[in-house]
Amino acid sequence: MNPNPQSSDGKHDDDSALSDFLASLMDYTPTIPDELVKHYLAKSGFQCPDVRLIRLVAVATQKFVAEVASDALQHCKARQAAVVKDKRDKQQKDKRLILVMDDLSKSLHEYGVNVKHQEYFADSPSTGIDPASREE
Amino acid sequence: MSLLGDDGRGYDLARLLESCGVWREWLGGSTYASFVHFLSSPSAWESFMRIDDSTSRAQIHLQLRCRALLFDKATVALFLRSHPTNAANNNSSSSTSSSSIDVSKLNPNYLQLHGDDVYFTLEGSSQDGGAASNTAPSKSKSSFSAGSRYVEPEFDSLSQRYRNDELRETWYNQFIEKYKLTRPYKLSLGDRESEKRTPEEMTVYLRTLEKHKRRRVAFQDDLHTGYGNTGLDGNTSVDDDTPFFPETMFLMNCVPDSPLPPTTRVRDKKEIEFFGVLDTLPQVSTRSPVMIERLGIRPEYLNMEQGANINRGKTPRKHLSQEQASQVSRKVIARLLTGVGFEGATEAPVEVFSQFLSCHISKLGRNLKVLTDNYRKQCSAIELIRMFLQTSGYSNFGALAELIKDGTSNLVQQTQQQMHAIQTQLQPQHQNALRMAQQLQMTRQMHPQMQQMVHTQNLSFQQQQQLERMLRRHPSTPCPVMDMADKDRPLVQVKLENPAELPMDNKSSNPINARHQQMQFRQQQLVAMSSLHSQSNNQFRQLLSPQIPQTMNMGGVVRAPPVKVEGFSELMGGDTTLKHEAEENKLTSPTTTK
Repeated sequence: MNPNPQSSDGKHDDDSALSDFLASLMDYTPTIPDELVKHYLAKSGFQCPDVRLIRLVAVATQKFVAEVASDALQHCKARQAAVVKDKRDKQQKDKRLILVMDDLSKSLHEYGVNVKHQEYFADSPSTGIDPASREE
Repeated sequence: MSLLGDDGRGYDLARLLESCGVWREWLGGSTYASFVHFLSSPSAWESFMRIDDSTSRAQIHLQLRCRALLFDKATVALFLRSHPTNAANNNSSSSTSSSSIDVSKLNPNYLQLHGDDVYFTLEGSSQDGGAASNTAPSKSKSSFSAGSRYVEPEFDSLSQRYRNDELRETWYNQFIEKYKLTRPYKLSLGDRESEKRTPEEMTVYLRTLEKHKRRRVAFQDDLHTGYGNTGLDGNTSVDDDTPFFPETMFLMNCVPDSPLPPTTRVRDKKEIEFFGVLDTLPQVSTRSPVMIERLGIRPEYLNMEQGANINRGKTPRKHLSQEQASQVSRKVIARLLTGVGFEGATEAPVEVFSQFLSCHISKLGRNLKVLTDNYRKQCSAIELIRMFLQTSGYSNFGALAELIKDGTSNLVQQTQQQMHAIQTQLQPQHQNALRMAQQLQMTRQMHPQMQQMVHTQNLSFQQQQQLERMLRRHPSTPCPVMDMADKDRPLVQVKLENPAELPMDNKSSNPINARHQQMQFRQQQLVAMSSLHSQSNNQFRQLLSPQIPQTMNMGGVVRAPPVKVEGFSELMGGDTTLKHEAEENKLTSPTTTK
């Protein structure tokens, strides 16, 4: 007698749901082309001829990138909303939502990717230190 | 071996070696004295070579030493098949029971003892002064190029005992001792300047090697025919038989036998098809053909068990280069940003984002690889995919399913909207659309004629008007009429701007309005036709610009505002630049009116 009949049934349902999901991938064309996904998968050493798996990776990547992009969009809108009131004319002109590096870096920072530009570059460790304290 | 005779004892070869004085060198003076009488007759030789219970241990050792030399010289028969000058002997040596090769044809120099056949002077411990260890009574030419010879431990100890006790006077020891005295062959690694690889030294090496090989040929025929007469320097002397140790004589100037590098397995750049654990993803349980159609499952999935491959060999694989992949990544990012809601992006974020995309895909690939490599045996394919989704953060793949559903529904909606829009545009002008289609077909057919007419520039205005009416009126000309059902099919996604916002006179009636629209469409057709042929473009412009206001004024109502029709260039198959040029001229206010 099966000790966990419900868990096995549940597992079977999950498997079938996943199988159906994989099958439904063939009806959907991801934004990321299959060739591109295959190229980068091959670079990392993974090769699979099954298109469903390629599409799965494409969909997962698309979802992830879309989340980052939507976060960046939120940052962009927030940045535009924070424009000073007396600059309303410029705001009218710059109403377009344009992705800039600032927004992208803020968005990526939340996902653990640091793409911030260095604020400054120093010639030596003592650059920027007060000359008086440097002499000491 | 055939050189050992039919009985394998090698009596003839032994006699020949005796005539060359090899036995005395090989066995040493004292041992030779007890051996020489066995060469007196074949029966004596056979009794010497036979081993039975009465054979003493000393005799056995002597026999082994004799056999060693005999076998060493007889091994040349193993390579006779590859030698072209021994074609006659090949036939005889190929059969095991055939008569032996005439040993008298052997080269006497070949039968002599040569230390350089055995010794590799760079091998060996310091106790021997660099001499190769003669650990076994038997020797072979194959050991010449070998480094340390593999010897079993007990055999090694035995050989050590022999070397120290009984083989002290063997020929090899005597030889190497003599050689050490005459020519010190120890490496002088400290003096590197004298040991340089130079073309001249390499040439000397090759010549010396050639001479050496010529001297050591096994058969006299080869000595006098093949090898003998063709020397690099024409010198065929066989007397000079100095030992040839290239490892010391030409330390830095040895040249390989063949200019070709050692054959290695050629890297097959073809993608090797292999079956991984994820190749057998579970199939959909349904077997209903209707469900299969509805779900869009391809038949190949169902045949996976039989070994059919999904998309293997079906479509040609497109391999992207790095640059192409970067370009495609940027396009993908642009599309994604547009889908999210951005209206534009600067260059740097697009570049960074595309690299981020590629890195993420690579990361997912690495995860997949690690999972499949490590859990291939423990887990099934579906479990591996589940693990992969969990590591990617999509343990509940509902979010992905929603994305797919949204994407599919958006696509369907978009298509339906387009269809609906086109239907609404076409329905009120049902007949006009049909007529327009007819006229379109006609203009296509009549285009050459019109072009001729335009080219001649002899058309009067009245003739042009007649042409207009002709185009308007032609219901019965034999031309392919579009099927009624085709009206619903979008020929081209035509988007009309300001289709009905015409400042009309109150006296205008619907027919006139419809007529205006007809004329507008016809104008578009004419413009589109002009875009097909650049030659007639200028003429068309001249014709159309005075023409339009005339027709308009003929209608007696108003001049219609310009109507921009997108997609007509695709419809007519022409380039858009000329079309736009024609449009500009057409849409500007006519300066002259009749």
